[in-house]
Amino acid sequence: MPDLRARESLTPENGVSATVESQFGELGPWETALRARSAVFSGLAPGSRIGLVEEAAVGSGSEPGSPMLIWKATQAGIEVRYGSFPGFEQTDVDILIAADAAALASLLQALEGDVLARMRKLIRAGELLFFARKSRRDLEDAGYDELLDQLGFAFLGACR
Amino acid sequence: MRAGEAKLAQLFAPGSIGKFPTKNRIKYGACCVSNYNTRDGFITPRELARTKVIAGTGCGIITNQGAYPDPLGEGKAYFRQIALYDDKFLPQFESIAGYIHDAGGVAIQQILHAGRYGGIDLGYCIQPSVVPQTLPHFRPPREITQAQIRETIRQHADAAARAVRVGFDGTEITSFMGYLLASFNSKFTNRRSDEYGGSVVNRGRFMRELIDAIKQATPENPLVVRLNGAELMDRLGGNTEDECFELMQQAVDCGVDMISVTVGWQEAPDSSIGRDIPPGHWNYLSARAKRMFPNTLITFGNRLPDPVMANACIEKGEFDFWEVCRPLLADPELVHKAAEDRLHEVRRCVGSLNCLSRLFRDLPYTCTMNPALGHEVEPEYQITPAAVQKKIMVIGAGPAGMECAITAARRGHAVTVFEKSDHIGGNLLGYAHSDLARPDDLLSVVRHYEVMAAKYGVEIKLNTEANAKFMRSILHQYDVAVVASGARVDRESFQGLEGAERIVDALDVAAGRVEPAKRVVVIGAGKIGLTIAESLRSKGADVTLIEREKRIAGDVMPSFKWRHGTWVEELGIATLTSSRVKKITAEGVTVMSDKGAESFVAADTVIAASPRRSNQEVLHEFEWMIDELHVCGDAVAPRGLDQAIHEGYRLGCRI
Repeated sequence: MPDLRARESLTPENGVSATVESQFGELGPWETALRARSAVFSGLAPGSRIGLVEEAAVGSGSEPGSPMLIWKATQAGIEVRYGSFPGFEQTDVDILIAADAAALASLLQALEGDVLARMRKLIRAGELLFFARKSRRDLEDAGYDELLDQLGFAFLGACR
Repeated sequence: MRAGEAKLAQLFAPGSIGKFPTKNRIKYGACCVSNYNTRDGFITPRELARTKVIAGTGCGIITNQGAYPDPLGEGKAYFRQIALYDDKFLPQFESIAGYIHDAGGVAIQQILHAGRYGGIDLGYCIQPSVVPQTLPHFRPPREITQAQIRETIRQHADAAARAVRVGFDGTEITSFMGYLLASFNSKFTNRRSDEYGGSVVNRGRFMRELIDAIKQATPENPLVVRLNGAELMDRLGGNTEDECFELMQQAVDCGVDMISVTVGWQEAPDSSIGRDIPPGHWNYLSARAKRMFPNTLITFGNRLPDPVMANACIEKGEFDFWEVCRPLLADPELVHKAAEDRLHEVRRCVGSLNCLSRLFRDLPYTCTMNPALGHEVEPEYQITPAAVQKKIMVIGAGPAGMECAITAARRGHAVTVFEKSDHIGGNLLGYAHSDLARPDDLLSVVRHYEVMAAKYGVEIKLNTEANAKFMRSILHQYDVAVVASGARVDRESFQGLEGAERIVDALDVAAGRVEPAKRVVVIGAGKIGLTIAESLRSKGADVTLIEREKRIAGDVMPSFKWRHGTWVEELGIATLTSSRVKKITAEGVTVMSDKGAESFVAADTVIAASPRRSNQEVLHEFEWMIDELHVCGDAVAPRGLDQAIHEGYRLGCRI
């Protein structure tokens, strides 16, 4: 089986397609938008990763290999890169966010403003799917509390 | 026949499930795992004492809380959930079945495999396909194999047989809230390509095999299946309501004896049982089930807390049995009070979801309204006749004072409540009137105190401020003083602030003593500030919240934080967190952030909701004036309704 995770280093230099860029936008504005909220990510352990995919990539019957935008925590702050989503079982992102075309467009529009606030609204409205790949304790240990709070997950457990 | 039974004739009509007659049409639902038991699944004396109370609620059918059926604990969802995978657990189950039978109930044991919410002691959970949870609370998923499916079904059947062997009359399996059965049924979580996935028929295969195995293991005993009428997960790719009912049809075709129609998953983006959902909202789902399956018993109770409404629903043919749990946590006497036509005495569930908030913190569940819940095994929480009858004065008619007064009066003490305002209820009254969710729930607390105070002869003296001068005038007339004078906004904390004299008190606004102008700044985004801000905004004011902490809603119940967050966003209330007021002028408020950035908010009215400070002054003044002096509620430290009621009760039990 090919190591699908290796493909997460997909960049414009090594062959990202124009389609991927049109889906997720250019990397620069993402990085700028996320670094503008650096306090939210400052507690993240280096290497922590958040993935953003199109909703079709996580739908029933979807095949591995869909494009994914990855936010990776580094000592220097959040880095954004393109990659591919190898499926729920193989992916090593900690949190996966799935957006349909409209939600993705909405996020791209928000890059010049507060993209996290927009994400929170979309999650609340059920227009953005959020999947936790680690348990709450592991996420907290990795420094995700602030991001989870920003995205509206201050209440842990619903049943409301 | 008792008076209430005649009035609610449908609810109190005898019924049956399988071969077992029921004394009425009320089913105690297994709504909450208690978390009272040992970490390895044994039932404790605390649980047994609690279960005796449940057995005595008067319900025709009593469902015991869900037990996980597998030795690995993949099905275990809650920290101290009970287990039923081995005979070693049975003696206590036998006791519980006995309690239920002694009280004239039909005993049902729920088997709960939590699936995607399970594996709490493991590093993983199992589900039909690897679809991670959409809340950061659970364990990473593994796909269940076909061999594991067969084993899981066998474990369920064995657990059912065990329960029946020790006296339970029937069993229940549950797909409520996204548990294993639900995750097979739902297309959101079931992505399998084998015969257990794909079409609705294939997705329902696990359920059909489960029903079949349990029916074979316990052929003489009824089986209840809890199935979603609505998952509320359709926006996330889950089942539509039509698909939910197709799955119900499959259960009916398999010969299940009763369907419990439920609503929502834990991960659903919409509320299903909270205070913001009006009672009766989901009744259409049970009505549809009853129309589709007239020959199968339907039980229902999601957000249906009122026996009068339940009686009407049965009369209209919307369901056969009222399934109720949370209202019976708040008042275990609810059914008896209904039967005796004493519904005005019922202590209502206010939907605070304190019970569930605690479960998700791995704590034993408790109830805001019922301080004895979970402490049934402890004599210290029981209302027993007082050894010495005392004359008690309670200062303050808020929840803490009224709870203490009524509890003490029930024990035989002579109690007088002194209240400086012209009403009982304290600050809760103003707070309730500003509540966007459902003011009547909170107002019911005050009404309950009025009724019970009258019943137990508590004397209430309104417009009477119990200060030192007053105390001197009644010296030696009382044995005990309870200071339950609540808390106030701490005006002193604004001393030195330019323009502090312009600040008005949130509680004065809530009580209608101050009418704010169009542009409002609220200082403090805790529950009081949020409630005031939301209320004013919904009436058209421009509102800005200023909060010193990084986050709003710091003192709000976890299960309700999200609601305030949503209201703030939906109503367009501006929030400035990590910020404090620097200066107030006639034009507005100058705000300073923790990072030193200054901003200006135009405002005509500035309302302070925090910090709060306990009204404790009389404690020092009364110290040499009375034999016993106690304090409870916000007068100890500003907190909330839960602590006020619980402390008032405990003190009332102790004096």
